[in-house]
Amino acid sequence: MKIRTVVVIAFVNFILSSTILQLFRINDAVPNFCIILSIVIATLSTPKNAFVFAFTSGLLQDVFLGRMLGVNFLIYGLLVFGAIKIIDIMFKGNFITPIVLMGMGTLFYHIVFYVIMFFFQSTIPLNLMLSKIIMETLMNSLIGYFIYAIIFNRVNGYKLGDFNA
Amino acid sequence: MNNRYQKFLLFAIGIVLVVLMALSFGGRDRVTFIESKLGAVLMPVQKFFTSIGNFIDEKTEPIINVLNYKDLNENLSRENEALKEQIVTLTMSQKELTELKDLRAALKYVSEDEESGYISCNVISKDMGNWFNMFTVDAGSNQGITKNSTVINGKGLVGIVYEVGESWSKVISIIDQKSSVGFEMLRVTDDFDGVLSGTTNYELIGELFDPKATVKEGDYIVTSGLGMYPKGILIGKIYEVVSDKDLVLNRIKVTPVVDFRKIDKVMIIPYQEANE
Repeated sequence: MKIRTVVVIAFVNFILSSTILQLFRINDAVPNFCIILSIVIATLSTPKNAFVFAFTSGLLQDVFLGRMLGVNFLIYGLLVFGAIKIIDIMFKGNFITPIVLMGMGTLFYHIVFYVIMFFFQSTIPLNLMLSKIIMETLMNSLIGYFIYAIIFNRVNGYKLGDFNA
Repeated sequence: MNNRYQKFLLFAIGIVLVVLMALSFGGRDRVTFIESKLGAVLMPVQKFFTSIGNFIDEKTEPIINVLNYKDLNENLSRENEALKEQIVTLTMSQKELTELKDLRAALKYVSEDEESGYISCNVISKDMGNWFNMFTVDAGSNQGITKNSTVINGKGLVGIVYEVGESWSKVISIIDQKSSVGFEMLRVTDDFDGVLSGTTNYELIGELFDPKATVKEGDYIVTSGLGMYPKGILIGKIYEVVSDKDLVLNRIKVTPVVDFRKIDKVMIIPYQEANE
């Protein structure tokens, strides 16, 4: 995948996530496609592509919908870094892999976000956010699983979880 | 690239990002040229997709809410009765007000400038995350919007402008946990003051300055003019008065009159230094 394709995906994701995908708010939580796609690209494409996607998405989110510059840029970058390290010790073809990665990635995003906001004295009590975080984690794991499975099939030519392939 | 150089680079990027966060925290007075132009390019596309989203939402809402219509009708009937009673009282007050205005004109009082010059705009995108309640609108410094301008819609107070581009602005809503709004009671007498802040869960929590203030559920509150917001904009309705002896100040819980889940059009009152 070319770098410019990755940048275009990041822009399309930003536009759709901030507009039409807002319709899919459940319990006031919306799935985070930046986390999902960052992990999918980090595990199924190259680290370079994953970092380009993460930084472009983070930058767009910080500039147009963020409280301050750099937060999402930093967190998505760290997320990709972590995903690249973890995928080395995990089996990409197992159907549990995307669910675990998406779930862990979402929780990691919120924990780091909370810590950064804490130092800027701008945090929100976690008890107020808990139901939203749980809902987002579930949605990300579920949607992430399907996206991962589709991309995995295209990249490897066999289905996710097909141990006879 | 050797390992040591790579680590140094990562550390340097981390430091730069932390500095950037600190500098941009609280909103910048002016965004950079590139951000402004990029926003202008993205805006029409976002506007297009938002209009599709609003269309779908509009068409599917009656189906989703079909079970709630009975309750909604009953509530509206009750509200209608209460409003009819209010009309009588307000008509009497209006007559008195007209007389007072005539008197003011007769005495040649200089009237204070009424708020004017509202800028109407559309919401083009909403926050992708779940922590804050921010959105962008399709009007910016070209339309006369400045940082800290007040954002309202047909129902009441929505929020405040956080950052301004040439043709777009970033808005932070009052239900955001870190927003605070000075309020007073919508009453002829006993207009107690206080401060409200958001809770992220579409409700507001406020504290009244007067420990002896008497407020009740169902009272409406408006902006007091303290802080950034102009005076007299409807904020919401008190749904719970927290009576706790340990609390020095009376605490209230407020439901905003604005439905923050369904904001598509807003009006902006440009910030004036006199509001400070």
